[in-house]
Amino acid sequence: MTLHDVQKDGTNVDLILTDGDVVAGTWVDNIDNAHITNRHLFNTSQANNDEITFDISLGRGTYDVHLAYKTNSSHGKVDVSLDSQVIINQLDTYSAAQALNVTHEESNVVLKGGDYKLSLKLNGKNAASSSYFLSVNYISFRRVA
Amino acid sequence: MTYELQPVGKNYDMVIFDGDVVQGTWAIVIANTKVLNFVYSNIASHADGDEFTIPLVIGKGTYDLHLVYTKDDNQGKLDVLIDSTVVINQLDTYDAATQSNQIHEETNVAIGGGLHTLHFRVNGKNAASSNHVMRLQMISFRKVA
Repeated sequence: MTLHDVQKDGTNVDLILTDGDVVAGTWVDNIDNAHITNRHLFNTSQANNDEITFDISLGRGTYDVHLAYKTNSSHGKVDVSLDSQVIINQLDTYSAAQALNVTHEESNVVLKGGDYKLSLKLNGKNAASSSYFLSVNYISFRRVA
Repeated sequence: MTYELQPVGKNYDMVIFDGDVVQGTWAIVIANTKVLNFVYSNIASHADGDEFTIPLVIGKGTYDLHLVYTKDDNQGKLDVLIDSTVVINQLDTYDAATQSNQIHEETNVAIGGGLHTLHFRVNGKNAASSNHVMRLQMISFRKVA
């Protein structure tokens, strides 16, 4: 693949978040039929800075990014990054009561295109949260311009 | 740029878990008997004309479209449009009994390469149906020419 190829105009990319490369913490891909795609990926280590990455190729363009995840009283905040570019900043996944299959949309994310490391990293927590869990299912990059 | 927006197409599978709502209330509903363990449905609003869109970037070509959906006794008919062109016309998703994981194939759909908007719109219902509910899961674009 040439540099020109990886930087051409992008198309939509959908990624089930399973089997990533662990940077910090312990991550488990757990079958659970209460979640879309029948699974969720979560950090049993539940520590701040727990991180997992995925290899992903995205063409240049402007994207709406959709992340499906779980909220609960023990969950932390997550940064989602492509290499060094934070595309979702400290998304708070705390809620007093559990909620499954929640979706967050981050609009108009501008990318130059190329091969990226997609990173999900715990970055702090809500004052009301008891821990630093993160549970995620799915991420979708939908090109809009 | 025109050239790069019209690359030769390839297969693309789109999981329908979140859309940009035009009308109605659309949400994930967990359903363990479905492929991918959920449906994206307007069960809360279930009105004629309910609609959502998803941006679509695809290379030029001729595609067979495969839509995975559910049939039931309260379901409506579905139009699928690419921009303003109807590519699936009033697909009747009514059945007297629940039929999960139905696949509708629409063959030889010619698509110009570039940025498009994919519309999913409820358009009428079978006389025997009690409502305008829609339950969708995924759509595949399989390039054939």
